[in-house]
Amino acid sequence: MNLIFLGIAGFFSGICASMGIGGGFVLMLYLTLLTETPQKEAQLFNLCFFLPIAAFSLWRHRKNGLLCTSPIKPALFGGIPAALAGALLAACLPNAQIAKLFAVFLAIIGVKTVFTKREPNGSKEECVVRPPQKQ
Amino acid sequence: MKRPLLPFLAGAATGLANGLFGAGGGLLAVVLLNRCGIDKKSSHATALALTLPLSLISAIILFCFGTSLSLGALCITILCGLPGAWLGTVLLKKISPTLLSRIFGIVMVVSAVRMFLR
Repeated sequence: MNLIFLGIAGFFSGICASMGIGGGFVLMLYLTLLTETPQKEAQLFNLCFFLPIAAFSLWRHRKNGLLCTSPIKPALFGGIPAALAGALLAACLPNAQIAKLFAVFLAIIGVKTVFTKREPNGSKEECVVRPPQKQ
Repeated sequence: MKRPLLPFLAGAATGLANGLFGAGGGLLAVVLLNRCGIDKKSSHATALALTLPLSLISAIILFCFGTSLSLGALCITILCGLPGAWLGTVLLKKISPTLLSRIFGIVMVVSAVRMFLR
């Protein structure tokens, strides 16, 4: 693994992560497509990379008053068992199969990202919880 | 929160993506938390608060199942990622995230096709 290019990938991943446009995918794509790192190794590397980056970004967002704490508890009640199940499944499946599933997931997210208009972040507004829109 | 079912489901979807793929949980969380009624500007920060513990759990599981990790390479990547994260917060005020995310979305779709056909 070329450490210079890895550092550059980490740098751009940090930029994208803090801008909310999918930093995890930058590093995952670099590792899996350009260095041919096995899928699960790339996943573990990406998850571990994300931890301090997220902690740093979260600290800055919290300082700016952008953190909304009310949905976190119910979200974690759903998220923790789901993360356990997903990680256990990933640990048991072969790399090639996870890579295919990831490719499908990536395509869906990519298409959605292309057709979604994003508002700029950065202002110091309070967390506003509005009723979900009826569809 | 008065209606915890929506955040619960948002958390479940995020956790599953995070655990199974090691990426993408954050983007999902931002979209789903916004659907729960969180203001768009807060949904990104809140998504980070959600995905941080989920990423830790997923990483521990993968590590315990014998997935290897290069600590030296990881440290270098983190050292380069932190200034990138800081720069991102500066650039966010100057560059349209819509344009950037659309370019990135196209990159993701192309990469997905390459990955699938490998």
